[in-house]
Amino acid sequence: MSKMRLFTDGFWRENPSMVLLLGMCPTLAVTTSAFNGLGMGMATLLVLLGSNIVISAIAGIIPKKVRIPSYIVVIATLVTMVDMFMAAYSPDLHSALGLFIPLIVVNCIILGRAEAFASRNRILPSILDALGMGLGFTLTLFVLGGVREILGNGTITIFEYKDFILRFLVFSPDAVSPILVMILAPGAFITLGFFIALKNYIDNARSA
Amino acid sequence: MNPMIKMVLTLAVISAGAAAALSAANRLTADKIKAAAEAKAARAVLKIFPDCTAPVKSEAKSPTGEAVVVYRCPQERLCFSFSSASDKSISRPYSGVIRAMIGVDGKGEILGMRIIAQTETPGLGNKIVEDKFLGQFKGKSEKSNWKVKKDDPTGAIDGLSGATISSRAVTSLVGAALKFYRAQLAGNGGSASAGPGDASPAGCGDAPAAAPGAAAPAGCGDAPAAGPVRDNRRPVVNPERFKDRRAGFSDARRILKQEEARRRVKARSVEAERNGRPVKPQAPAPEGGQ
Repeated sequence: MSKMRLFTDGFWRENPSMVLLLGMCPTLAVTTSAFNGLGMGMATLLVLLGSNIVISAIAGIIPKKVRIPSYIVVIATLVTMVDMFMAAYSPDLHSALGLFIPLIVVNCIILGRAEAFASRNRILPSILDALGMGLGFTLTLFVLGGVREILGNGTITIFEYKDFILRFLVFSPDAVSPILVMILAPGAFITLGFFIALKNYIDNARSA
Repeated sequence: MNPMIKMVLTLAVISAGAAAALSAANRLTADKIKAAAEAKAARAVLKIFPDCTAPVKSEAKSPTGEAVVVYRCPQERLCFSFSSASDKSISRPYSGVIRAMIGVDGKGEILGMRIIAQTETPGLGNKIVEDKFLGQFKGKSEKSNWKVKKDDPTGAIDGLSGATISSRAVTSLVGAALKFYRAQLAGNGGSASAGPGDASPAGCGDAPAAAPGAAAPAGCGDAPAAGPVRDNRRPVVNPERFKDRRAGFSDARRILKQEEARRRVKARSVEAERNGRPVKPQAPAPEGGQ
């Protein structure tokens, strides 16, 4: 498998949210705005990178039977450290993302990639895999959050940090009543369903 | 090496490594995290009272024993932090704890407030931090009806659509905070908590502490005795009830049977009543279930 392929797989062919259907909990819970999706995706990318590196380095010495608990300990440690350092050195970013960070421990993308990829490959391919998967996940969450935010709130928030907020009003909530359910959990399922259908449609049209 | 021992050893080594990494990270960051939280509170004070650059900081105890940080500013104004865990009467937030910084003037009227900590749902509940919602609290005092309009049409606060629980939590938090302000912070110059023997309620409205010694809290409207707010409610669970015996499975079956019998008797009487009335007899199908 070429190195480039390792990186690009995460975006489309093996997209974690739309094909592997991994990490549904954060995907559905957090994508209430485009920026929230972006934040969750970036935090996951960071932890995924760390865990893939550490696990591909130590996988050789871990007995098969205790590999899952070992991976979980490594991942939980990394997540907690990211949380602590973010709270200490960038409190504003932490108050924006703080809620998502503990969620990363239970994100099965990370454990899934540790088990399926990092434990069987060397460090460099593992890094490429983490970057591809993480960016693919981020992109999907960003678009998903954007669609839900537009439909459910009438706005799209690209960026939010301290008092700097980049938010566009797509339609005024006074003129058109937003579809509140799109912001709630069912809206996430509905939107993701349409995304997967669209992706499959494109794939079928391409191969036909 | 015995594979069992190897497994245990590997896990122990990995865990020890994780513990070491975490304790190092904690040592590096703990002070900074604490300082960041304090800076955030101080910044909130500055947002509420932009001219109050050198507030006098003190601490008080909330009804649940939580620390309440008080920032006193000129002209009798003060800011204090109050959280949803500060008083048991506060309606619970959707998740975690909400902490607010509330700025009031000498009469107990809100001049401004900010939410300094919350973990409500992004996109829904976390809209409680926005000025659009918090602006409603401005100018209100303890006398306002601290309910959201959805629960009580005369309520003071318009809740956020789709986030009633969060709105309710903030609303009741502010109500409790103002009660706490009157009881503990209003009037007295710095050291909080009027002693329990001190009969004159500190700060009835804007009246300075009236004639010392006169026990009756004259002219204080319907204000209950001042002093530390006590929680007089009974505990939710009465442990005595569960002391002598515990219901087992056989009891559960018996209780269910009894309830079922009681329900049947009740249903029969309801049906009889309905049939007794001069309306046309209806099928005994349950209608919504009463």
